Amino acid sequence: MVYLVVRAGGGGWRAIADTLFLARTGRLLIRSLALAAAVSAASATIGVALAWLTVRCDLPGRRIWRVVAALPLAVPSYVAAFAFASELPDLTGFRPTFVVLTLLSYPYVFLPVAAVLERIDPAMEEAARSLGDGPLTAFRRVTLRQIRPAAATGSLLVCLYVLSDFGAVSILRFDSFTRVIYQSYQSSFDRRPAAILGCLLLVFTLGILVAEARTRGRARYFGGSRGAPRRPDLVRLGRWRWAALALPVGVAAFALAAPLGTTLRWLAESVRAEVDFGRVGRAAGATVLASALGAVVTAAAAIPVGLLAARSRSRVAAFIERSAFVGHALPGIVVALSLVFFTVRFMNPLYQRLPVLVFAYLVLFLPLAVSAVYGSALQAPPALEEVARSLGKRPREVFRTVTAPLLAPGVGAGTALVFLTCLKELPATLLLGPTGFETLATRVWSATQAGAFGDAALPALLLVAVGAVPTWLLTRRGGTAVT
Amino acid sequence: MDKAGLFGPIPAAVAGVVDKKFRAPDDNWTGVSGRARVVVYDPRKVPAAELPASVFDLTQPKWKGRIGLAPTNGSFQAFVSAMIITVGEARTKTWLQGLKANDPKTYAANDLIVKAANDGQVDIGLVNHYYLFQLQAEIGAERTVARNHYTAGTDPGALVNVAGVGILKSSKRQADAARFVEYLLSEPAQRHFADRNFEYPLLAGVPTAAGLPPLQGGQGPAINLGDLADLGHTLDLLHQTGLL
Repeated sequence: MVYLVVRAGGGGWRAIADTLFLARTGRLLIRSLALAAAVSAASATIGVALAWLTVRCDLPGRRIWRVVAALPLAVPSYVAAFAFASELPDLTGFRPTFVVLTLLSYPYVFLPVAAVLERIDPAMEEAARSLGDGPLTAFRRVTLRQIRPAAATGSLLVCLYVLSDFGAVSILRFDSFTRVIYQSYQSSFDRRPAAILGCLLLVFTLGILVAEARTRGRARYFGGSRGAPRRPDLVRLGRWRWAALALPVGVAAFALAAPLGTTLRWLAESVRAEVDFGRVGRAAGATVLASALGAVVTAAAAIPVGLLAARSRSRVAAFIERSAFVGHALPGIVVALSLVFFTVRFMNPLYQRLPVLVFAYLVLFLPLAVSAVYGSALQAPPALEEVARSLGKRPREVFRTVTAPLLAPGVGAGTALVFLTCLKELPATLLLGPTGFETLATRVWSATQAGAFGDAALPALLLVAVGAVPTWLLTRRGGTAVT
Repeated sequence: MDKAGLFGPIPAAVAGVVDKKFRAPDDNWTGVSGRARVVVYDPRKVPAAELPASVFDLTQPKWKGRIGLAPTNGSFQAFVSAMIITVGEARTKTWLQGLKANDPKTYAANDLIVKAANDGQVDIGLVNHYYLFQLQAEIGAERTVARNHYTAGTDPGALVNVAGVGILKSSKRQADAARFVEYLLSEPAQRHFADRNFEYPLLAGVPTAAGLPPLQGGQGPAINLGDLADLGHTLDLLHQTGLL
């Protein structure tokens, strides 16, 4: 933020006014906000529905679908958009952009909500049912209310992500606010207009963050703490069991199979593509290294922030948690350039070294992990920790034996979210990665940039494959840890 | 960057191999590869007789809804700058307005325009010459239908621009930087630009890729490439006419 303000202020008030009052600036901001709102609403619906189906229902193969449903997060938006544009070239503008971004970003809602559903104490739902509520009413009055915080922060992440996305909007030709920022970077060495627009984006982000915080009630989301929650019974879908499968299958078909199928077609059509397993293998190694470091560091940093936000009602706690979200709304190139600015000036030996890249991932993706940890922390009754303390355990031991296991599903979901998002990260990786450091995402990008679409297929496929393993491990762990 | 005074001179022995037209008068930067602006077209929709002799013809009503542009692209903007330098701001503005009135389809990048022309989605587009050859290398000659058309003589649409390098004055490793520039202008690197990227090599004696028409001596508008740097006016005009 300091970087943006310093750069934006460099031109004085006139430059600021000139940039802000271009008629186009306002128009594009409104278009971007409309897109963000629409994608958030659709993602919330799909994310909650998929989480409920895969965690709480006897959906055939639900464990597999739970992993598959998280994977669209690893598909770079420019790959999906490219695939969409090459299959349906006449569709451009709002609708295709809306569809592509929704298909890629609903996991921001799905993963945290699934983590919360995993931990819901069934006693409350059962109480509602025993008091005469039908299954749907009980779902609406009890379950939905409990997953609301996780769903809301997930939707917030979607909203901020859409504001920052550049790949899909540029390829599907939807005129958005980020396009202006990128144009400004592309067409001149004057960094001021982009910084001014970045500041404007920040202001709107803060507005959205404050608005979202207002919707959070003061409700408690943990049970009556009479013993440990039992594993809930699976909802029997009966004759709807196979019909319900249409949702995860359909989403996977459009979000995963369609774009990857298109990249395979590029490979088949290419007369010059060489499948270079060595190079792609090295890129996969680099990707896993950088993304795993990014995910672990980010998740670790998110634990205190999420816990504090869930437990404390103070303004300071709220401020710390909200400020974590700011980085997510800024286009990656803005964050990357600000880190270039600071490392070159103050930490030159670290410039283009892995630690700065990992730090960039932390700045960009901290809210992903915070939202997941927050969802779990809300469900953890503080009384359990108080009991442990009163029985003589030291704070560190209480954290290890009581708090940590309760937070585990959220931390697992957060780590998975960040890992999957790091996999496809492009601008920061390109600018801050060590010289010669090639990840799968940068490989896909450089191949498509050179018109060598066939060379993009293998790394694109590997991106999703590499994303599947840790997602499976992390979400499975959350599922079996409940005792 | 040169206008901002950030470059120091490249040793004359290094930059000297490049034609004066493609480097700075004071050798503060030099081109390392050339790219020509062309009109890419779909021969199924645009018969040879109908091809525009000049980009100025593209404002005619018959091109309505048929033109592809990448207004955010640096090469497109450099071409508009070249037009401002050769015919003046007023005429450029009129042309841009005419172009806008013809409802062009805008794309994020040049290669997408070439692909679109090849797939029959756009009839004609303003791009750099090499994207067509890259597409041809990727999907094969028999499936590459689109063709390049070079507008005539000194038309701004026939601009030949360069990808260039300069050495930062602030660098503490001037000798290494000069060696790198020397490498970029050496035969192996020039062959790479020619054969892999389908650009025009700027080292005499290195052949252009097969199938690429050679650069003509007087091709394109007679301008100093260094003047293309002044993009301020260009962007203003693109904003004013609503193309950006």
